[in-house]
Amino acid sequence: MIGKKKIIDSRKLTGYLFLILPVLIYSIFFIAPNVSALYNSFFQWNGLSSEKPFVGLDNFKKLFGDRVFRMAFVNTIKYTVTLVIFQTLFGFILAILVYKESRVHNVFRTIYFLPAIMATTTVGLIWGFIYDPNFGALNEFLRIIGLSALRKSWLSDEKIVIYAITAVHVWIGIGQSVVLFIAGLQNVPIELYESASLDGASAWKQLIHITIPLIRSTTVIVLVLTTIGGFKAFDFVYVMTNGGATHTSEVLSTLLYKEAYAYSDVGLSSAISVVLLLVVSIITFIQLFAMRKKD
Amino acid sequence: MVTNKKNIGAKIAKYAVLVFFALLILFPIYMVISGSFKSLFELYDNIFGLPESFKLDNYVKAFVDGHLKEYYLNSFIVTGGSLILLTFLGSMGGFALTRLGLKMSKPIYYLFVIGISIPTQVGIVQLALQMSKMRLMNSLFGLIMVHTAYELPFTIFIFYGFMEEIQWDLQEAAVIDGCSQIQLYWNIMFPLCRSAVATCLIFNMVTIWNDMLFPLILISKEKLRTLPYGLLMFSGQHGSQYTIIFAGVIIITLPLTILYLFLQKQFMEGLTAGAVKG
Repeated sequence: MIGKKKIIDSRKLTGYLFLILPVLIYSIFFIAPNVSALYNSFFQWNGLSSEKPFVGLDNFKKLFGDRVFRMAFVNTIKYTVTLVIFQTLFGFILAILVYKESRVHNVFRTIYFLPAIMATTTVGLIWGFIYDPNFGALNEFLRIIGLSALRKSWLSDEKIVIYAITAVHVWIGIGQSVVLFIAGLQNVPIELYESASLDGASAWKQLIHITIPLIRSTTVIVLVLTTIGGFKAFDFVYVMTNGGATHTSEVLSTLLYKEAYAYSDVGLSSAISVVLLLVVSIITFIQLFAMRKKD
Repeated sequence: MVTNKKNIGAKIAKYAVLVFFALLILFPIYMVISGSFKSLFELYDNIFGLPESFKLDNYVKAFVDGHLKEYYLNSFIVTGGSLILLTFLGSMGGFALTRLGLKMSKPIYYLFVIGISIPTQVGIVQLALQMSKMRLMNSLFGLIMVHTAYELPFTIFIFYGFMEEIQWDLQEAAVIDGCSQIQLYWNIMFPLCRSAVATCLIFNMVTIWNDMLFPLILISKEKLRTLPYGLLMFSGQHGSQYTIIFAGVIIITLPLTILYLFLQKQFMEGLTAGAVKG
């Protein structure tokens, strides 16, 4: 009787002892700042002063009336939609071509995934050079192949800058979609294709009627991941243009950073944090819902 | 005969697509490698060609003038310190939450898992304010704490999922043999978690080694910069020195690339598992 109680106690004791450090570090350095972002969004505050009046939803009203915020929001949507379309489409096509196990396919997979291990900073700097209007590789390449008419100031032309940056994100992210789609495609039972072939179904018909419906949950995952990736866009924009020229490539995260650091408006910055958090939570919720429905 | 021709056509089309995308990935990388051996004049004169000779001038300049030598040590300390902490805290946390029948284990687990879906940027401004109050600005220790806290949700998630699946018979037998809880963790459970350890090590290593955001907000002292942030600051001051920047890119990327070429499968698995994280 006493012995049993002692065992239970030592289990509990060890358990909570093991949890003290992870919970403490996580609470102090992760939970606290995120909670205070929520909290600060209801206050007017420059981050320094002891005066910190409660302003209710004023920061959010100010935000939605602000021209720069609207630009950042629209740019974030453009970035996200472009990213989702190309990363999903290219990832799917390439995965279809290399999902069967073979040495050659493995070489291509290794190449496609290579950018995923690179630092976003280094990739941003490389593409900054490629896009350079005077000496950059892209304009030089266009000149050599005789398409000089297409030469552009890729990062200062307000119509294309956001797409030029998104292309870099597609470049680094394509491998991730390829790997996810490969995993999905390898789960489709091969007998289905065999019997469809015997029935005379064309490759195209097999794709539409077997492959696409059966990898639905993989597609959902890829769509959700790229959507969230798009809304969180920060690094490439920060490295390549820092939101310029004059906010034409501003996105939510770069504005959030600027409101606090350049304009000392922590309240407004926190309100952008809350908007970002809400959008990402909604997408995550949709994902959970879509996955549950399938089960 | 007809199908044969069709097959060959399909094969050509397939490899055309594969090679096109491979070139799209590899060409910028080739340009960086070849550019890192060129002089600036040579680069602008001949962007796409091979370098005239393989001089290491740019690498020396990046290491010395660009201070990447010092930043290497900083990156090494921060990444190494965080990885050690994460591996131990994550596995201990996963163990405590799954194997010891704690009443609070579900709520604590959910508290961690919620963190997976919160974008890093949400809290960065308040984090910086809080760190300066705690006098942890310009501190590699502070940076290690922050990286550890931000990667704990994913790490706990992986270890929890893995430890949950381990057979209970094993644990009962060990306890009957007089194994203490700590021995149970260290001698039995931890060694069984090798693949979870590998997944977490790879994902956390790539994330932390490559991170620029936390040093950006937490480090202002020049000698405490980490590699990607240090290179970014260098390019801010010497924007047109692309040949040196390219050498810096190679210096930062090489260690992970070598590991990747040996452990492709593990990298692909670890990094896509981690992609689910926010």
